[in-house]
Amino acid sequence: MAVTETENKFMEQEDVVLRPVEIEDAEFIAETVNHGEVRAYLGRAPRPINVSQEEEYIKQFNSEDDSVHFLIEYQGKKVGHIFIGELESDYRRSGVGYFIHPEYHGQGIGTKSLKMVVTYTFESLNRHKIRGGFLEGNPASKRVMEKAGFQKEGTERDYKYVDGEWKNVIWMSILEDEYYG
Amino acid sequence: MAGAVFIEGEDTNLRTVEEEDVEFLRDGVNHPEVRVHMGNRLPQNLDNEEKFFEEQISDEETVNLLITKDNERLGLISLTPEGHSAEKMAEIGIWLHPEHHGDGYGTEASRLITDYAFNQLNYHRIFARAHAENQPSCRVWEKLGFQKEGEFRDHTYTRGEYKDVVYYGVLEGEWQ
Repeated sequence: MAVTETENKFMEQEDVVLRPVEIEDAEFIAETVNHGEVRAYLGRAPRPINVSQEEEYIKQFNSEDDSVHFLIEYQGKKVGHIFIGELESDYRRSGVGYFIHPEYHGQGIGTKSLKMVVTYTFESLNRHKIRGGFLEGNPASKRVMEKAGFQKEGTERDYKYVDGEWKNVIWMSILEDEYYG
Repeated sequence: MAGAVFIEGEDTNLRTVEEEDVEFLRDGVNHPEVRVHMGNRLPQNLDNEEKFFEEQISDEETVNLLITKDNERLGLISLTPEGHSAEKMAEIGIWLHPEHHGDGYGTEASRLITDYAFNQLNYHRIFARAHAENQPSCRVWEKLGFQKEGEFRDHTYTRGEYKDVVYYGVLEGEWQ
């Protein structure tokens, strides 16, 4: 039932494929993280990232064991990036982060990607807990996490400064018992 | 490939600076009408400029953006954190290739980056320096509402003379 021709696919669900991130993806990722709508809700401050910097990040995260990164493809096109971090932390707690290029928002790509990563994180990496957060005022990201089985942990106040205002972050998580149900 | 558009203005766009822009940057900072106003005394070859690209432009803290119009490169603008982070202060640096002087592009680019500095990075004070004799540059900051904070006498030396340097600044409560 392969929908795409992607040769190095790692996981797939219908028309969404997760595959390793290659150096050549730097251009797409840089374009996406510099996009006004994306940089406003990422966890870091919205400074510009050029392709050379992005290439360095890709080399760095591909050479360490603390995180696992996937390029998200939709119908054969590059559409986003999802990763699991803090894999070397104590108590098998990890964090997930993701972003999708705004041209592809609203098509369920984030939900499918996150569900695949949750499955992978529990079933292949044997984690106890996955944490993730979304900024107040980003209902799309909230829905993605809820559909993937995440529950609200709490609100961290004034996490990020966007358009002249402080925004809270809402932390969510899913535990292994809840996943295996 | 041109860098991603990071901030969109009416006339100009500010884009990420990419490796392929290095030659343009070299030509700009060596230009006699650019370098005398920015205190750049030494010739910069492609190697020097590539080192600048790797160490300064691709640095995590400093914001560097290429000023462009319809995909043409006009100049470079930067926002560099100064002092301790407690002071929430940054300096704007800007140059435009002389072919594009006098069209208001510097004013727009400076306004865009000042907005970004206050509204997205939460700085408290933004400042810029200009050689007192460089009237077009001084006018940019005056038009944008930066206050002239002081004039340092004989603070630099170019073209056979000591020159005064003016400091312009704007505080978060004063910006629009």
